[in-house]
This record gives sequence, C-alpha cells and structure tokens, in this order.
Amino acid sequence: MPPIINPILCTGCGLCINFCPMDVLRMNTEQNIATVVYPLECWHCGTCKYECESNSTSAISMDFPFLGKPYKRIKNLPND
Amino acid sequence: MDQTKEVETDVLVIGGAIAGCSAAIKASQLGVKVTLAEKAAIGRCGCAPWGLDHIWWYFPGGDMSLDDVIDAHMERLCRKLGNRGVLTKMWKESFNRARDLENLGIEFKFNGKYHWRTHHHLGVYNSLIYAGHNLTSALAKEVTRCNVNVLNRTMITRLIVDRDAVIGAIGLNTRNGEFIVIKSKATILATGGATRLYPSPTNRLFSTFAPPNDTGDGYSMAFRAGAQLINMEFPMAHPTTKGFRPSSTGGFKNAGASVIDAYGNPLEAGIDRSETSRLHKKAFEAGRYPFYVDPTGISKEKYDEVCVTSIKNEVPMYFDFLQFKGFDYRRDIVEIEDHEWDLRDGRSGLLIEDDGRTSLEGLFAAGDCTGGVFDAESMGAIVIAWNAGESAAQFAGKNVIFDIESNILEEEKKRIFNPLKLKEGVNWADINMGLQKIMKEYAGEIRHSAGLERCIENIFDLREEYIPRLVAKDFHELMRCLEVQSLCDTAEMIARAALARKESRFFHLRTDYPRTDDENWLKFVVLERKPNGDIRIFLKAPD
Repeated sequence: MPPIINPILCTGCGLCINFCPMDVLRMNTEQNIATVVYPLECWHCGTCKYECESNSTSAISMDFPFLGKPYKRIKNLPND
Repeated sequence: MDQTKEVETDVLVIGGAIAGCSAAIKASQLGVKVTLAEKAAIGRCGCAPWGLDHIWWYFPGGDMSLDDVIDAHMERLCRKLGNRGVLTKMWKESFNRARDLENLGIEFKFNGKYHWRTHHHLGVYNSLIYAGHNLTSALAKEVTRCNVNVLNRTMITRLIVDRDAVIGAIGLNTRNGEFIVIKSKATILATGGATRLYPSPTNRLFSTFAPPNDTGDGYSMAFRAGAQLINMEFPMAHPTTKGFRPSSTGGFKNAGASVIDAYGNPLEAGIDRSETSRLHKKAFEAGRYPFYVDPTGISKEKYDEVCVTSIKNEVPMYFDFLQFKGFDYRRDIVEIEDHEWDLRDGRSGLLIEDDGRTSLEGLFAAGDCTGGVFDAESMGAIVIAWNAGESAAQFAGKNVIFDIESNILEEEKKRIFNPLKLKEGVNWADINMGLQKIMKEYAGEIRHSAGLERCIENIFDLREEYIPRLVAKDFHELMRCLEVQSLCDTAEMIARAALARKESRFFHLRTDYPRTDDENWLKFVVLERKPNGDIRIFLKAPD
C-alpha cells in the first residue's frame, strides 16, 4: 500500500517528489500537497517518509497489506 | 516532445548510485568534465538508498593474508568461476577506498570501534558491519560538490557506436519529456542489475528485493551496442523476510538468530546461496515449512547492538514495518522465503578488465551491470568504479567529441516516443507480467533445451507483436515502456546463455545436462551481438 500523505501536515516542500526512486509522487499544484499518482509502483522503501521527517514534518505514513502478520508468536512474556 | 537537450562532455556516467557516483567523483578529481545521468535522483537511488549494514574490506595485518581472502572468495563464492584479476584488484584496493569513504563522512565505526562479523554466505572472511550508513547520499553529496553535471530523472536509452567505439548516448527526461543527446569522449555504465524478470513472492510487480527500476537498461544498451556480456544464465535468489518488500535476514543472523523450520528444528545451510536454496526447497517439499529466523534467544544487548543498528542502517523501513505490526524479538519469530530471481552483485553482465574497460572502445563499466565476480557487492562496485573513472578520464584526455548521425537520433526518438502517439494499445504492466510467466516457466528452476527454445520464441513474439503497440499517457509511463523493452532484451540473454551452458551449475539446473562439468564448463558463456543482429555465443576461460 503506497504512502498516506496527511494533507494538513504536508507543507508542499516537494522533497518526497524529488527523491522517490520509483517516481510515484507528484505535486498537486492547486492544494500544494504531494500526491501518489502511481500507487502500484510503490516499493515501500520509505524514502518519502524519511525525507519528510528530515524536514521536521511527519506527514507520511505507510501500511503493508501483504500477508497479515510477518511473524509468529512462540513465547509469552511476563506482562502478556 | 520536440524539446531536445544537447550535452557535450568528457566523461558520461550512466547511473548515479554507488558505482556511478564513485566513478564520477574519481573522474572529476582528474580534472575532466563529467556528466552523470540518473533515472531516479542521486542520493536515494540504487540498491542501498538508505545505507548498508555491511561492506567488505581487506584489513592488512589481520589473520588472513590477501591471497587467502582472494582464494576463499574464488573457492566459496565464485566456485572457481570468477575473474581473478578483477577480484584481486577489488580486495587489494578495498582498504584505500574505505579510507576515502571515511573521509567523505561515512561512519564505519560503532561506539568508536570497528565491528567485524562473518558475512552470512562468505563464511570465511569477515566483513565490517554498521558500514556505509548514508553511503549513497554521502557519495551523491560529493558528486555535487565536485561540480559534476547531474541530470536527474534522465533515463539513457541507447549508446551510440561509431567505428566500433562508443561516442555518446541518447536519453529521455522522464519528468518533462526532453529528448537528451549526449556526446561524450568516454562513457561509464553503472546501471545496476535487473529484477522484475521473475514473479515476486507477492506477485506484486514492484515488491522486489532489488530496486524494481533496475530493469537491465545497461545490459540492453550495451548488448545492442555490441559489447560482450557474461554469466547471463545465472539469475539467483537468497532467503529474505516474508510479508514485505523482501529484506535481508543478515541483521538477525549476525546477532545470533537461528534459522528453523515449522517444528523448531534447525534448517540446513549450504556452502553458498544456491546450495542453501536447494536445501530449503527439499525441506519445503518434505512439509517442514514455514521457515523462520528465531531471534528469541538473543540478549537485549546483542539485539540492540547488532540487529537494530544493522537493519536500521540498511532497510530502516523494515524495522518500522516490524514495529508497526507489533513485533517483539523476545517472543516472535520472523517468517522467511527466497525472494525472486534477479541479476546483480557483479556476477552477470558486461565483461570487464580490472579497470572497468569493456570489450567496446570508449565504454567502461562498474557495479552490478558487470559480470565475472560473484558477490562483488558494494566494495566491488566502488573499487572498480574508481578505476573506471580514472581509465575513462585518461581515455577522454586522448579523445575528441564526435558528431552523432541524425538518422540514429531520429530512429531512437521514434522508438522512445511512439507509445505517446498511440491512442490505444498495450499496457507495459501486462507485458511485464507476461514476460515473468515466460521466464518462470521456461527459464526458471527446471531448464532444458525444449523449454529454453520455447522461451526465446515467446520473447521474440512478445517483442515483435506487442512492444510496437505499447501505449503511454505521460513521460513517466514512457519510462516504464522503455524498461519493459530492456527487460525483454535481458530475458532473451538469460535464455540464450542458459541454452548454451550444457551443464548444471549454481541455480542453472538442466534436466538434460544434470552434471556439473568443471572439465569443460569452467568457462564464461559470452554473448555478443553483431551489427547485423546476429548473436555470437562462445566460451571464454576466466583470467
């Protein structure tokens, strides 16, 4: 699932668009907000998220709807 | 579409990740004019956009001699099928290049000390961990500081050959659609390997281990220009994490995690990746799956020190993903599987000398687009790129700019922009998926002559019937259309080389030639395209 961009937090700085290696983002020039234009081509590398954070904003988050849980619980911890 | 950008340069570097930036830096240090074209954007492209968690470095004065290390690499990783000259240069100069990287601000130390660990499949010599944090971006910063003319979002589509030498290249700006014409005195290919040839474990086209925009553009261009390529029959995979774009399990294993089957029994590992893969496959067929990496026995200290730092260095998104899903290393085990087959790591691609010279005059190459050294990885890329930058600069110093014939420019312009002209047609993704099916079935885990011949026929039909009908609605889609053409070329090379190798070796398993035949086949299968389109295939003993 491609990045989710919070339209309220996005400052329109364009770093994510600048650096996305798969070129999936473009600027919505009317609202000055980054948008995902090619969602199926997202590599889930997180570059957009980290570039956003490097600019002291956290407008980008991601989910990963593949497989469900990638791990299996085999022990219980004392607090479980 | 009618905008043309013309560039004249001493050295053109195609590809701006680890190899490309290293070559550009070295060439510019020698005072020549360098232009670097990158399909994405430098600083966040290639195989390691956020950093690396390991890098090989021969540390003089350690308990292994340089010869011992080279022998081990030849024996255990190349299994004797490797270019010893290139390998020697790589290990010999690794220490100096590591020093150069440190001077660029790449921090190899953790808490003030160098930390070594056994690379998960080399097993003999240690590699450095916490290495190369921000390697790609630090190299990109230096490229900018060196006043290299950087053309981001520029996909190079064709090398220009005149009188058997490369004199320039043609490309496309994937954002504004500019037609790019570059005349260069020397050209360095650093375009990486090729993925998206085989179905990914999730079947999602862009959830691959290697960057999904590594589509063998360099293989395709160099092949069409007449350069020699080797080892194209050896796409490979290794165990990675499941449920995400695949990530390496190295971080966990180096912290001491065990690899187990569904019943908690240890899973066998082979001497190299292909053997490990075969053992995993046997275990799968015996019903012992799912397979896991078990970190539950690791101390918190070790976990934080090795695992967390290691993973965060190389694939920070994977760590965020685990946390997002509620993972706790004290109670959870991580499921693993092999990622899709791909070509990379310096084993398959352009045949090079130890200074990056290819069989074509004026063309040099470094990094994953070169072949002959299994698991050359990042240190291989940096060392050879450094040498290629130097050789290319020297070559440029004795060379001149040549004009490019206008009919060649017209021909390539037509090929690039045709999908925009069509109102209806074929979608690039459908061709990609069709190609993956062809490769999986006919050039996959079970190979034989009838299947490989069918593979070549199918690729031919795909190319003749559907490539001319590709349709795109913008310049970004034009890039994807061009990428599937590179993929078709690369796929054909894989099939032809696999058909030529009449024995079984690594992941290349032929039911009609099941034996590994060192006596006759400890040689490279070389592919070379003649100007009339004929493909010459011959064997060459490694140096």
